[in-house]
Amino acid sequence: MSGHQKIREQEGRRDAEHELIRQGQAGDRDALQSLWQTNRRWVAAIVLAHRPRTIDVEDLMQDVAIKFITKVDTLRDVEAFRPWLRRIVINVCRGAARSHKHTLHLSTGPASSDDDDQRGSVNVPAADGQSADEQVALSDSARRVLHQVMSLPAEYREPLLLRSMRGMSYQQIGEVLELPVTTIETRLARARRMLREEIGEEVWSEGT
Amino acid sequence: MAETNQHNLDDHGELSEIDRLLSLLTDGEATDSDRQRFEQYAAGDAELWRRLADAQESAAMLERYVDAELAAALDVDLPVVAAHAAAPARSLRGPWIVAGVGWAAVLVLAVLWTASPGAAPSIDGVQPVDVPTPRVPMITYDEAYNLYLEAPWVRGQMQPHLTEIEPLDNGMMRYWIMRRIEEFIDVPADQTIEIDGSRNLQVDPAALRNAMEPSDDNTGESRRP
Repeated sequence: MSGHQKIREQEGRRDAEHELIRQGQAGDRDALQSLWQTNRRWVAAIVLAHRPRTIDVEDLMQDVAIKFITKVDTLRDVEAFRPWLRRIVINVCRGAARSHKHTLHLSTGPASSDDDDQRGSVNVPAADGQSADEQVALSDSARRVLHQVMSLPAEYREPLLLRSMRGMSYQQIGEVLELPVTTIETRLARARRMLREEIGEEVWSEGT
Repeated sequence: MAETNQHNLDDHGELSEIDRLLSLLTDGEATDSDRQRFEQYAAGDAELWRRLADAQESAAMLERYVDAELAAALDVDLPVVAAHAAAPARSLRGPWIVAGVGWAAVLVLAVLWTASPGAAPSIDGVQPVDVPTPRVPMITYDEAYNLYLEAPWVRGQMQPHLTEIEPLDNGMMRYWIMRRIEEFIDVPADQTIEIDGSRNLQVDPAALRNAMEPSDDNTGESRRP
């Protein structure tokens, strides 16, 4: 696909999304559903980047879904939809970090002393309906890699996780993060180098 | 080689052009010019091709890891918004309300009843003396619920789960929340308890516990807070 075709396709997708936002704000539930389904992959990546370590991504996604459906009519500029949704995600994660100390999570045990850490290590969420096998699906090396990703500063962690949700171009990541494409390029390259320095080659090769 | 090292300088933590090109090529975002630059470097250092292959493999692996980590989260849909005055999904909600706040409500009733001597029933036809009702600190439903969570047989509660959002006529939104408590009941090995195919208990847990557990006098452990 040529560069021009790609740009036209992106513009077409953006226009369609803006139309869905307007329809959703007018009360069209199907439009909201479609918007959510189109965007929830990267939303999940942002949740993963910002969640407190003892709260499941799934639970936070539910909170984000509620905020999305109840606040969408407050969005004034449809062009700013993705940054707006990202801010909702970050606020939900921060709110959860403030309040979750009082809730005992059966899957992870009592809250630990470093719960305030927004970054968090990777623990496979014990979501309802998951079998024990599914809950331990990630190998040790996967856990180690994800742990290191979570240990990166947020400015590197976020674009790397967004990029790891297949299908997001630098341009789209830049729209979500409100950053120029050149900055996304630099941050991704730097994030990968930091990971390589921290993890080394052997962990990656373990998973092959 | 010398040129490659010059462009791969890491001594001061600066990002090298090689790092940038590897990242762009890995993500399929490199321009023709970027590719040419990389090929120039690789012509002097064949090791760069291996680094590119490693970087691509690492990126693919990270995608798989993130996919696995987020598998359950990607099934999260928007909550169901009930229509005004629509019949709610009682079959889903009802039993869980009993299982969750139901016990708290029962506990509240029990506490209020035991704390109101003025309302005590007569015994053997003797009417109770009409004494002033003492000012007993009242316990709220939420406090009672939290109190129940402190019972020795309660292990904890799971994250509350939203089941439904219902718009109200007064402009408010009613959030229907399912709370789930995990607790245990010790049952003799030769006895079974009735469950259905979905492992739903067919007996009242409180009644079952009362039937199974010895009286307070025998255990020496008070079951009242």
